[in-house]
Amino acid sequence: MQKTEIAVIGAGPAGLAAAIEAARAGAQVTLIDENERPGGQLFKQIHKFFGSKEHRAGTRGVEIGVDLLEEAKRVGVITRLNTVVYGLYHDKCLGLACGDHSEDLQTQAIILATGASENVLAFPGWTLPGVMGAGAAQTLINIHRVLPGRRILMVGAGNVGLIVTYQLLQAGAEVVAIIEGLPVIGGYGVHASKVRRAGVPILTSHTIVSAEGGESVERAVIAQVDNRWQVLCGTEQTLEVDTVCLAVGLSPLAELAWMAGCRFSHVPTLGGWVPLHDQDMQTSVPGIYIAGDVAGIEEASTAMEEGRLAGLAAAGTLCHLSPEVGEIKKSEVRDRLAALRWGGFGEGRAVAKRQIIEARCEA
Amino acid sequence: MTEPVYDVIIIGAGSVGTPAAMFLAEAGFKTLVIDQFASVGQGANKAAIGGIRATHSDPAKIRLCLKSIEVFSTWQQQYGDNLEWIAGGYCFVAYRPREEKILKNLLAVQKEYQLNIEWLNREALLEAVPALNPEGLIGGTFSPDDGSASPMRSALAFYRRAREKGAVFQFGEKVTGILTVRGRVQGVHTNQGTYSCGSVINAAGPWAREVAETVGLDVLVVPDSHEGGVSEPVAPFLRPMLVDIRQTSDSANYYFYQHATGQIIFCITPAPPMVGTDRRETSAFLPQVSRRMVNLVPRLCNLRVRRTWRGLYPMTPDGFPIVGLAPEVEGYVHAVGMCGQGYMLGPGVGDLLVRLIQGNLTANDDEVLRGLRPDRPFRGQEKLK
Ligand SMILES: Cc1cc2nc3c(=O)[nH]c(=O)nc-3n(C[C@H](O)[C@H](O)[C@H](O)COP(=O)(O)OP(=O)(O)OC[C@H]3O[C@@H](n4cnc5c(N)ncnc54)[C@H](O)[C@@H]3O)c2cc1C
Ligand SMILES: Cc1cc2nc3c(=O)[nH]c(=O)nc-3n(C[C@H](O)[C@H](O)[C@H](O)COP(=O)(O)OP(=O)(O)OC[C@H]3O[C@@H](n4cnc5c(N)ncnc54)[C@H](O)[C@@H]3O)c2cc1C
Repeated sequence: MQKTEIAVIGAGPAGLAAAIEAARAGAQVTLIDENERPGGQLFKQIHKFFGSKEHRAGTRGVEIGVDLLEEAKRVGVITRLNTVVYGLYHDKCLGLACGDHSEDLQTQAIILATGASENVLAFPGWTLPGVMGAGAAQTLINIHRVLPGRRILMVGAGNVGLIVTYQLLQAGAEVVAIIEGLPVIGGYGVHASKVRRAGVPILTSHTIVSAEGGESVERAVIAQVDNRWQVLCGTEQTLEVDTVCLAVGLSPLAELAWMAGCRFSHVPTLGGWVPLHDQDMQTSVPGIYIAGDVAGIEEASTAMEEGRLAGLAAAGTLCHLSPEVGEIKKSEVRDRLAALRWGGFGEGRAVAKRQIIEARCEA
Repeated sequence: MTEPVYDVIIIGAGSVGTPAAMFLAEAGFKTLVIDQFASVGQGANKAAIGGIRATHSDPAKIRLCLKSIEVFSTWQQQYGDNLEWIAGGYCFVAYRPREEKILKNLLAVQKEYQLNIEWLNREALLEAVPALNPEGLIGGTFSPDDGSASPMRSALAFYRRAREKGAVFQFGEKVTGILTVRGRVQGVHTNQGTYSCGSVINAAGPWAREVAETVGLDVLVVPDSHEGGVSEPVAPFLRPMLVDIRQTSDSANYYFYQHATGQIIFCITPAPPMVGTDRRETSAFLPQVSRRMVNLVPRLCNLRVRRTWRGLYPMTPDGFPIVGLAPEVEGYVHAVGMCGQGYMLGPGVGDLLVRLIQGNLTANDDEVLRGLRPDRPFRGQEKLK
């Protein structure tokens, strides 16, 4: 059976940062991702990131991704691509599916950095070809260079809905409207102004009623909702569109943590069911760590810091760092995380994260 | 002395206890079922993959399962609930003379009991099951009246019917002792109270030995664990349950079928057995079972697995259940040790328990119970586990 000291599952910003940190400390690290390229969501983010200078705001996600990949190679991380982790067993053995065969990988510590999956909405017609996640549309245009459709309805005006709308326009599609069920726009003002300037209307207090068409989407019916999310009769309108993109939130992709028997808590601010973790990102199962969106939906910048924390902690428990040095390094990362979770948008997450850590310590 | 509150208390709302409660309540017995878990069928029952056959090799299991098949196959017509029963048949395959010989020997016994089962040669078998790997195939048995259904749906349907007929269920309550006076059952102690009754049925599945110990009986039921799995649903292409009894270095038989809702559901018998109550999945199971399944039905290589689990078989030393009155304690009934077949045996055993408690056994019942006696020597070995 193959062996590694630390397996990191998911090569997005969280997993890459975790793998680099653990390998730097001297651990033998295997980084596993199901895609043919590492980087997770980063390579889809062709826009300039928000946040502080220290966290490379103003840099595009793609560039951050390239830097992380080079660093990972330099410090000796073994990367296994096109490989799905299908199981996490109690003896810390992983089941891997690669192409047409499967393998076992025996590990001593595991860092889960599997990211998130997009939420969907169910409405009449939601299974028609042409209805897709906004993230899927973003992958099509920015990775595969294919337009998902010509005339698009975006559902959801959070950051993902706004950014993907703008990128769809850049790619040459027409976005007919963005609709948002809440009375206010959820995403940042800069992103909203950008799409408005490009002529896309943002209709708040609106929902999608149905998607219609024969073989694929040909029309969508939208309507206004009251403050209890009930459709107001008579406000229905039909839009001629061939694509409906859903940007209605993300949920932590935590099946492997469920399988490992980790304890969870339901935290709406962080995207739903989240595995409990302590200050070191260790779950309730010793030796299993989490980082990034799987530990609560946030941003690439927090994902990388959580990854570093998990990488340091996992390497520390395997004696690659002295407790003193480990603690100093981890507290530096914790300070940066606190700084990232400061301010209007960060505060709620900071509180939620504190609750997760407290619940884990009581568990 | 005051009258007991219940005629019968059943310990365990599983594959056996639930249909037993239904038949007893139908027959007019005041019946209470106690289970430690939160709802019906949460023990071994929910781990079963749903196979149901009467084509065994001994009169007891054959008779009991014929009754079960009658219940499963007519349920929807009679009561409306869809148990997802399909009479897809069972097919035991032979790729080596060794298995051919075992199966043909059993066939002779099975024929004696008028079971609808035939030997199909290679061509006939490939016609019945075109998805089979033809390479090296000799032939196999095919029994078209056997089939499959959903263990969870069945448990729920039996539970509803039992309640309709007046049976009472207490969930989340653990039996801690059996009350006896001068060698006669008087009631049952739980972690929450005491209930009085005339008879008690131990239907505690993998935990039966612990329960029996509380009245000083040693019943030879030892849990061992088996893993199962389910794929994504696909269009129907596989009719019968396929069973391959070849032994390899790390596994014995494995079996799988396509459920009414399209999923392939499968499990394997590990070698050596995994004794104990550990139910955490192993990393060995999926590669082991899928390799063998793909070898048998090559097109399965395109199928994705959704989920795996590990459940318990309540095993006995000879592979046969233990059913009958305990000679040592009056009013105490064993209905335990169902091994890998408790789901298919459940309704048949439940129906028989009514006549056992009424003292109204037929000649056939006597023959069935003779093979399952609690005080038998446990020397033989079941041939088709
Ligand atoms: C449209 C959009 C715009 C964004 N803009 C910004 C921004 O401006 N600034 C910012 O900071 N953040 C932004 N984000 C958020 C940021 O992209 C995410 O928070 C970040 O990528 C999360 O990183 P991660 O490593 O946790 O997960 P991911 O980047 O999602 O990586 C997880 C990886 O794990 C792989 N994986 C999952 N399960 C398995 C398995 N079982 N086996 C093998 N591999 C597996 C996945 O395929 C994926 O490659 C944006 C997100 C979106 C969708
Ligand atoms: C992977 C797998 C596949 C299988 N496939 C099949 C198949 O295809 N066909 C088939 O027929 N069988 C199959 N089986 C076997 C089948 O699951 C068992 O034989 C059957 O469920 C046993 O039934 P039971 O009623 O004896 O036990 P259970 O269903 O476990 O019921 C016993 C009940 O007693 C309760 N209990 C125990 N002790 C106490 C106590 N002290 N107080 C209160 N309650 C108590 C338990 O909570 C439990 O609910 C399979 C098993 C496995 C693991």
